[in-house]
Amino acid sequence: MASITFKHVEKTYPGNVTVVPDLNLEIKDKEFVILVGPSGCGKSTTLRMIAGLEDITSGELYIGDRVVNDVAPKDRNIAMVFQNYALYPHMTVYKNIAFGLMQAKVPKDEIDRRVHEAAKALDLEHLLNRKPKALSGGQRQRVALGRAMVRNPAVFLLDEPLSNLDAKLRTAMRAEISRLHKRLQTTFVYVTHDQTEAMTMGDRIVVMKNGIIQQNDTPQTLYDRPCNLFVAGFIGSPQMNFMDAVIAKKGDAYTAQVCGNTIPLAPSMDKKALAAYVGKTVVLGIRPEDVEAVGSGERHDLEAKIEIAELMGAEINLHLDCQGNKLVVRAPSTYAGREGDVGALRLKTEKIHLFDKETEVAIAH
Amino acid sequence: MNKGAMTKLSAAARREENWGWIMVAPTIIGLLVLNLWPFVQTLYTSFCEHLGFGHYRFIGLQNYINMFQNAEFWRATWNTIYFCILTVPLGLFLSLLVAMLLNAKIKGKGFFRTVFFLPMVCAPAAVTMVWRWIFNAEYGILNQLLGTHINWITDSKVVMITCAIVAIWSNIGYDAVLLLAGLQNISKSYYEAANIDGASKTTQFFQITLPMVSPTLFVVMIMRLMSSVKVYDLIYMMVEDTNPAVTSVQSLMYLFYRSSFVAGDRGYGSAIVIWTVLLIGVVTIFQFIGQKKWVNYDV
Repeated sequence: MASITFKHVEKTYPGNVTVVPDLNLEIKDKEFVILVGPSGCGKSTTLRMIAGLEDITSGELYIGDRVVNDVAPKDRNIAMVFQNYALYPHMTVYKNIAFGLMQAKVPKDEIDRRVHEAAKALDLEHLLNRKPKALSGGQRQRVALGRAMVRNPAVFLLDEPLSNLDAKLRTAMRAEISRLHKRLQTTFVYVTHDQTEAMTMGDRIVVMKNGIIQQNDTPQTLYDRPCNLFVAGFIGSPQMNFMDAVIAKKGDAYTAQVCGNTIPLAPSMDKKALAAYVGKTVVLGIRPEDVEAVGSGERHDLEAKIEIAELMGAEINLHLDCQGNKLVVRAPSTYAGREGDVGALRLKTEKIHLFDKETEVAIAH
Repeated sequence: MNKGAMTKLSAAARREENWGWIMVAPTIIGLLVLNLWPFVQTLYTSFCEHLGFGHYRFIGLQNYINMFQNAEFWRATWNTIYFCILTVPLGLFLSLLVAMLLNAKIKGKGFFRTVFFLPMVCAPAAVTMVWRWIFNAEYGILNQLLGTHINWITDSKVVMITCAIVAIWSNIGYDAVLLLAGLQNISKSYYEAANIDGASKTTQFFQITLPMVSPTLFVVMIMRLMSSVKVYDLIYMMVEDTNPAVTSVQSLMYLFYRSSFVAGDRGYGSAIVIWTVLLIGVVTIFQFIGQKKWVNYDV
């Protein structure tokens, strides 16, 4: 069991390519933390630094109370699950799982006990004599997990472990990994670029971009109160809608002018923050589920042309155009509007997010 | 309608098959004319006595009987096998070592790769001439460096080792490049996983590198063994006909050359060739049987 702490960690590759400029992060013992971000954001490098597969240019990395900058991977008490599983193709499932224990010179009967225990937990017992090529993607994934499990590591590192699986299997394995974390009660650090995995699995999500942590919070907070435009756009599917808006003040209340319409802003918004933006253009963000598609006779805030209606089964994703602003709205499947129609939209004003147009930082939620 | 569709399909399939034959025809014709036909001719000639001016007389197995009764032939067979024993295992080991060094994180990797491949682009005759000077008993640099006076080329006990050194040196570059390609196909993540698992470099070599490069190693081994059994030019260039040590180093192909083109006994020479082909066949069969134990094709 161990916590992980990054103190001013920098990673620069030869040729002066800085991938992680100054990372400060604390991962608590037994926590399930997700590092998420687009390709090249430094999330995998961060994970590999924990594993000891990448040298740290400067700063300090702690696992527990120990600085591990110069500690070999095998001595860090960690286990890693690779994106391509990295199962040794010429070894059986049994030997793959046992390999780490054999290197640690664990007695044979103890190895046997642990391998069978892990195989039983992961439903691999009947596959122990097979070689990886005779396994399906999901089974290989479970072998990779088993290989990590038997070593009883203090930290589990998972590098995009589900990205090679099909959608159905990915959903199943997501739940399986979450269950594994609950059962093992170990620190899990999980890297993904898939925001759905991030939202569904982690206790905490660290959103990264260009090697810099954008936001580090619980999934719900990240969703409800994104700290900047990048996080707002990255978390959530379909992604948040963004439109330019001008802030105005009428008496005590604030409004946002969007596409020629005046939208009242919720009184709960930070008035002090809003006051500084009166008369200025900001970015208004609202999630697809926070916009209601209503009948044209009802009270509405905006009107937009329906370009595409995607039937998802329980609901319809409407892709709309509001004076050049592209919007996505989640409407019930009973919604009558069709492609080419003009739809009336009502915004849940308490769900509006405002961002500074220049700095992209959140102004108010 | 079904029948119609089937006929149409088979017509298309037939057309495709015809095109396939047309495409492979140049290679097949080349193989027949340049490889198979000369082999059949050689096989026939091995049962004949050469009368000169392209005339042959069928004498049955007489050439083979003569051959098996000839001590020089058995000596040449042993020389060939000895040459293989000296060059193939050590050559493969050194090639793998060089390939691994060239695959490691070293400065000037490109330069070293070129240097090691250089022997392959040099004319073998020129290379041998240089080596002969290096091995020269009187003025050669090797004796000077070692402070010895070994007759590298004329001493019947040493000459085979001398030839083996040159053969290994000549082939390391090419074999290393093939093995390097095999090594580069091994995903880095296996080594990373092994590092986390705590496997030492030696364990990583025997448990990961060797099994995973074994298919390439096997191909290189077959190729090297075949070319070693057929060795001729290197020995011919290193050791002249007049050299007293020639019988100690004379390979089967050298003997074939001397029998067919110096002594003019083409029938006898052809019998030596057929024997060599059989030898290569037997060695290759044993290799293919043996590979099941050590070559790993799982990916």
